[in-house]
Amino acid sequence: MSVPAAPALTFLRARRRAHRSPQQRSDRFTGLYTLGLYAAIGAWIGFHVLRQSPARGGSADWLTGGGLARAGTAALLLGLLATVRYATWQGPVVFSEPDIHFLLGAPLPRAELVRGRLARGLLLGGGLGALLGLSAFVLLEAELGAAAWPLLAAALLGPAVFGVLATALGWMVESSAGRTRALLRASPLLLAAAVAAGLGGGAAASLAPWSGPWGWALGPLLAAAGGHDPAWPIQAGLLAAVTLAAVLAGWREAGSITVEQLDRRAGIRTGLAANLFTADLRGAALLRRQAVLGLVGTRRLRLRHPRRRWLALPWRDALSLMRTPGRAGWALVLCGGGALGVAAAPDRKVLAAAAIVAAYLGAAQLLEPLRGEADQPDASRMLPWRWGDMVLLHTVTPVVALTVIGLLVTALAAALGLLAGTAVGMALGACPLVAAALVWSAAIPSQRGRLGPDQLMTASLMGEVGGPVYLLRWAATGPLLALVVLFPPVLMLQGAAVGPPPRAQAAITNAVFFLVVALAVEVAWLRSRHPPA
Amino acid sequence: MTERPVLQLRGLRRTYGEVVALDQLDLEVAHGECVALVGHNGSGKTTTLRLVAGLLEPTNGDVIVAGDNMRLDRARAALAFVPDNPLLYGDLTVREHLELIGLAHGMGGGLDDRVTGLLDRLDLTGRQEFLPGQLSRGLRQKTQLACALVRPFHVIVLDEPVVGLDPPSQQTLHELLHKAKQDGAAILLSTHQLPFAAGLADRAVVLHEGRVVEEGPFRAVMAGAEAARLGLR
Repeated sequence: MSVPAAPALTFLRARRRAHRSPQQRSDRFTGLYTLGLYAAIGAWIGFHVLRQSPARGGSADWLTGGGLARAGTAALLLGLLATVRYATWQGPVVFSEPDIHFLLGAPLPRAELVRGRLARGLLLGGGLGALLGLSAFVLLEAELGAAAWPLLAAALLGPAVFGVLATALGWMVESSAGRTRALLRASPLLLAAAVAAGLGGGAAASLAPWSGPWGWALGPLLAAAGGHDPAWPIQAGLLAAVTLAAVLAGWREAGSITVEQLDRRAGIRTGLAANLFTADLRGAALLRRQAVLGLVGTRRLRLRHPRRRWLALPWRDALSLMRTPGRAGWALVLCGGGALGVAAAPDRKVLAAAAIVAAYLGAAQLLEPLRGEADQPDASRMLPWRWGDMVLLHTVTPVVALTVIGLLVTALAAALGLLAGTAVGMALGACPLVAAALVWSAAIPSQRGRLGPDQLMTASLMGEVGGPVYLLRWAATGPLLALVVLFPPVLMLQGAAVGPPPRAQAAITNAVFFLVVALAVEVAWLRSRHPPA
Repeated sequence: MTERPVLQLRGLRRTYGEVVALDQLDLEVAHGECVALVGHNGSGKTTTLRLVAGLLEPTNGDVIVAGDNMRLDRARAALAFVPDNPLLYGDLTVREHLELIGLAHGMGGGLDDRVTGLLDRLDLTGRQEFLPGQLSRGLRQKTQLACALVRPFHVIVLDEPVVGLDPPSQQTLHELLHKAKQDGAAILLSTHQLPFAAGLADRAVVLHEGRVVEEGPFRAVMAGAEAARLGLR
């Protein structure tokens, strides 16, 4: 006894539209218009900047000599991973909580309700793919100067169809709890495949167009960009066939998803909207993490508690890290990536600064227990330490963990031939100091607590420019602090690298001295803190 | 009260990872009967009601409504659910919510009269053009109740229905549910407000840590040793 969905949906749309004020409609139009305008202007400026930059024969050679195949494959694989991971907690079909209650609780055909949203999701996926392809076209056209129309067609169509395929696969993940769990477990493999595709040599470049749908989507682009890929029509055909099959399979499965899965996603979306409305990005990230943990289950790892009182908080933080190993993984990726980048190009100042910020973000991943403490400072009154001492105790485990990560990355850099001789010893010795600098820099903003109504009110009163700048300052304090502490020693060492040995020795001494003084200031400041209001 | 069960829960079990929220619940509710689920927080009441409403999938067992499995459209059409927390569209008025429910349940003629009558009965007429953001918690709860009551149903499931309602509204709800019972509807509700349940429920099911620890006539169960042991009265 199903009731046709169309009358209820038409009524709902009409009534909601009627309640939208002219101001809301105007805001929506202005937003879309502004977005489109900026995208067009950005693409035009980007194209001309790239085209008018000095001759880039090296870049063009790299792109046509396999770089495009490797980078493109890695980018599309990462895009696919992001889409299907997104589907584990949201996905292309998400209803609101009232929709769940009123529409899915009524005898309306579920498949019909789902298909409307699925169609929208597929269109959006194709649109995002086309946007990615448009960026690639701007870059390639400026660098290679190839025939524009074939390149544009290949750059738009391949990624657009791949976007539709990724969305259809996302829906298949969303509609099955078993597939969701399997994907969460298999994600590291997909990530490893993307990294291997990106870093691989000539063999990876020649295999890329046949490595799967991501390669098939790239084939026509490689051919249009002047690369050698005569089989691109077959690849395009394969991509179209697989995409059609995935869309049809997803369409057929539309009615199979349970209300429970849709309700879970609706609840997450409500929480997410509330967090983003109050600029609480961390709250949004925690919500996402909680949603994923709810699916794969919390790891019930045990760690024997210590006997010494001062080790209680480091023990608690170690437990937290063991139960959310993703945090350590991100710290490894961000710190390791930054450190390897600096080791590969030690004379680049901008790269060094970017590496410090990336490493800071990695260190901040390890300080979640401290941020949790700052969220509810009253709870910390149960503990026998002053706030400042407690903050320092919360940094013990992160400093140790980050030092271990640093030692591992140094060993990897030495194995890859990026570090040699005394530089290896110096890097190993610097690990604890740099780890402490990063963690303590991250500890300072970590204890400010949630962004409260008073801060939001202040931001609101400061207007369209002042408000966002005020909020940005909240997020920027930590990375800036890390730069203040670590960038001067890096500059000293870079300057000394081109000078005579006595000057290098003096620079090392100066850098270490600067770092030790900066760390002492940070510790003194952290110890003097009081609980957030 | 007739004996034919319109709601049947067979071996209902629900786990969250290793946590068993509900274990082997068997329950039948007949036409014109009201059953109250009582128990402490975390005893499994809301899980039971959400399973019955189809918002959760059972790990094992079945929910049968008017002879059909809850997964079928026909079963959903026969069951009305009132959650403990009002869930309303922010951009639909009170009246439009009721109209939408009517459309979604295929109610044709007579919908306007029914909506008007129910709004009047629940003292919502003066606020029928209000959006949820303009309503207090209690008025939103009343709107949610109206949404459940506006359409025909064989079974109504209510999770803490009187939270946020003032005494006159509680009395109105009591009367409306009593009328529904007389018309043959089965009622399954959970509440900590025992005086409210006492005037309505024929039977009580005491849940503790996901299991039924006692079941029987409401007054006898609430006067019994198990309710005393659990501190439920």
